[in-house]
Order: sequence, then C-alpha cells, then structure tokens
Amino acid sequence: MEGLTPGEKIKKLRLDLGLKQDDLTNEEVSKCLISMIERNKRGLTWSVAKIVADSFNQYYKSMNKEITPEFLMETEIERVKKEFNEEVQYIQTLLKAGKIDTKLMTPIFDKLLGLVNQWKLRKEKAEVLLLRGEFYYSTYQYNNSIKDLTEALEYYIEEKNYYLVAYIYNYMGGNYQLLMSIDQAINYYTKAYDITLEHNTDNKERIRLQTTKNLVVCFRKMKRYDIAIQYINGFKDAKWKDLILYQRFNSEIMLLEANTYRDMTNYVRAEQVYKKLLEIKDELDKDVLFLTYDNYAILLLEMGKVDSAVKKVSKAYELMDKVLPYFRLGLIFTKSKCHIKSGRLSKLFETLKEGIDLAEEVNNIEMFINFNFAYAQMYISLKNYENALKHIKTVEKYVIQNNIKTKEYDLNIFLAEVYYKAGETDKGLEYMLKNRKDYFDLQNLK
Amino acid sequence: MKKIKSVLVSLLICSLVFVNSSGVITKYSNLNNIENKTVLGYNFILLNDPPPSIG
Repeated sequence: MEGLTPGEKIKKLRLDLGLKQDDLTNEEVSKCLISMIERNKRGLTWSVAKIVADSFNQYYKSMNKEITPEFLMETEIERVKKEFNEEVQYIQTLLKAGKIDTKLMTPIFDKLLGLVNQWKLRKEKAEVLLLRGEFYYSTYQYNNSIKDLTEALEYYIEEKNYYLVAYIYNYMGGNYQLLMSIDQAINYYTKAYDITLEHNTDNKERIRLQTTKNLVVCFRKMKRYDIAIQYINGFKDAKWKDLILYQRFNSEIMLLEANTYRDMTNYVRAEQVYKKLLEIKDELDKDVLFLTYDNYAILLLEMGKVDSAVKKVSKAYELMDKVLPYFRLGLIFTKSKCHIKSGRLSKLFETLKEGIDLAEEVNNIEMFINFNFAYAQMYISLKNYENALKHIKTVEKYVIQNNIKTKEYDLNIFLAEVYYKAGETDKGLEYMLKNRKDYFDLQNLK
Repeated sequence: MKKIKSVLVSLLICSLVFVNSSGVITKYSNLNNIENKTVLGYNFILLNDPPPSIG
C-alpha cells in the first residue's frame, strides 16, 4: 500500500473485497465522487475518508480487521505537509527580507491555521503560530504577538526544544518592553538568558548578547543606572566567541554606556564614549550611528551647547531615510527640545505634530503618549487650557485602553494641573488626590 | 541566652559573607530577584535608546 495515493488505496481495498463503487456510497458520498477520488481527480477529505472507512469496516469486522480514515489519508497528509512547508518558507523569506504585507500574509496565515487544525498537526501549528507571532511583532501588534507566541511556547516547552524556548522568551520580552510592561520584559529576558545557560543551546551566544543589551535598556528605563552599569560591565568582562556578532552588540553597548553616564550627569565620561563611537563611524551600523548623533545632541543640550546640539541633530537627519521609524521618533523629540531651547515655538508645534503622526502610524504607544504630553505642556505654558486638555484626554483614553500603569501618575498630575489652572479647583484636587493612597477608610467616620 | 544569640548572629554574618565571596553571578535570575519587586513603583523615563534586539 505504501506509495499509493488515497484514491489508489481505496480502489485496491475495494477490489480486494470484491466490492463495487456503489457499495461505498451513501447520501453524502456519491458514486461519481468515489470514481473521481479513485482516479485521483479529487482529493480525499477527512469526512469522506471516515464514511469510506466505515463502509470497508462493515466487511472487515468479520475478519477482525479495521481500516482507519488516517490510514486512507496517509499520503494526503504528506501532501498537506508539503504544501504547508512551501507556504511557510515563502512567508519566512518575506519576513526575513522585511517585505511585510498584511493584506498578502493574513489570508495565508488563516489558510495555514485552517490546515493544521483540520489535520491536527501540532508541530506545524506551533511553527505557524511562532511565525505569525513574529509577523505581529513586526506590524506593531504586540498583544496579538504575545498570544501566538505563548501558545507556541507551550508546545516547545513540552518538546524540550530549548533553542526555540529561549528564542521565544526573548521575543516575549521585546513585546512587553514595547507595551511598556518593563517588569514582564525583564522577567522574560532573564528567562531567555538562563535557559541558554542551563541547556547550553546552539543560539546561546546570540541570545545572551541580545538579552544583555535588552536588560540594560530596561533598567535604564527604570532609572536603575547602577544595575544597567552592572550588566554593561558583565558584557565587557565576558569572553564572546562570535566576533562579528560581538562587534555589532559592542557598539550598541558603548552607546548605552554613554547614555547611562549622561543620565547620571557624568558628562565628561559620556562625551568621551560618544567621541570614541564617532571615531569609528564608518564601521558602525547606520542605526547605531544615527542614535549616536541623536543622543550626543541630547548631552550637548543638557550641557547648554544648543548650537552644537542642532548640528548633531542635522547629522542624524541626513540618515533619516536609512533607519526604521522607531529610531526616527526619538530624534523628532530631540529636535523639539532644540526648538524649545532656541525659542522657536512655531517650529516646535510643527515638529511635535510630525512626531504624533509617526508614533500613531507605527503604533508606538510610549512615544505617542510622550508627544501628546509635550503638546499639553506647551499649551499649558501658553495658558491655552482647552487644547492642553484635548491632548491629555487623548492620553487618558490610551492609558485606560492599554492599561498602562506607568503613565497614570503623570496623567493625573497633568489633569490636576490643567483643571487647577483653568479655575476648576475641585476637579484639580480630585485628580491630585488620586496620586496618594488612603491610609484609613474614612467613609464611615462622621 | 545572650551567648546563643551572639553565636546565631555570627553564624548569619558568616553565611552572608560566604554567599557574597563565592557568589559568582551565573544566572541573571539571581541578579534580578530583588529588583523585580520594585519595578512597578517607577515612572519610566523617555529614552532615545535602541529598540529591543530579538530574532
């Protein structure tokens, strides 16, 4: 029977038993359909295979034998798997090349998931969920990505495929970081690092470099510069074998080191590292060079050197087309700061608008909120409370919708400030009090 | 009673010193355990840092 198509298999079994095509039919399966299947003109579906197997089993029962639909479909499953692999490879190539087309990819994912569910293919299902999780990540749909990756993760943990478990943990961290759940991000990055250590996986070097860098960024976000420096030093002290990979991460770590010293107000040391990076600018990735100019400009602004900062911003703007939107958002913010320092208000509003539009386009929630807050602060300083409130209310909607705890504090203070200054003092007080906890339940006290 | 107390305290100190002196950091989870609990209290700051490295 091996190598026979499902149709050929049915024909052989039928003739062995001396049956006619009519003997395999019922209300749902016609003689014509059986004939077409036997001649390989039609594929065999699960429901038809079940009916045909039941018909055969009426005869096989007396011989103590049984035919299963799976047996009839065996080669069909291989065909489905082949089709599946081709589609998966196609999507993988597109994702790798950064050619992400939602309209093209969504129906393919739907079809693939339909196939794996119909044929109960667990391994393939995990594969397609992992792929879709990556697709969602690159299209900024972080919650959807987490959902798919979690399901894929369950399978790979069960299968003890620690290579992919570490890979997915790191991806989960990325999703949570961009959703501003920094505690969860740290948790997953740490897990990814530790899994490679425990199981000595083949991707250990890459994952350890990636997670170390990601953790530095997370701890910087929490203003835990001491821990960030600890990880940076850990990176420097470790012996990395993959030198090409190391070089790439080394420049990013250097940039983070400079940023950390800057934020610790150790300007001298920060400037030394930025200069060191610019000395090797021809060897740097465009992204890193872009960020170096951008962050160096922030340092110069803090040092009061506005003109020099503007020059660095223009240098970064020259590279604007060569970097992803994520990088551009930060620079737009730096440019806004330059406008404030040089007192160019009309330019400032223009730049902030550019930022809000881009943040919305790429679904960068954090930047979208930051730009709206910046707008609000500007309007408050101009005593235009109505417009300020509009921007704060936009943030409030986002904070509630996405349950962003980390922006609640700023949000309440902004609301309190704007209501207070607009003369609605009771409302202002109400928002102010949201930021301190109740020490007693005073409701019943008269 | 005082003696027992002082013995216990010195034992505790010894064990702490031992952990510290031999505490080579092998796992990131060891490094982060204490810190994780404090995360939610922070109001995160705006950064122009690189995005996460994944994939």
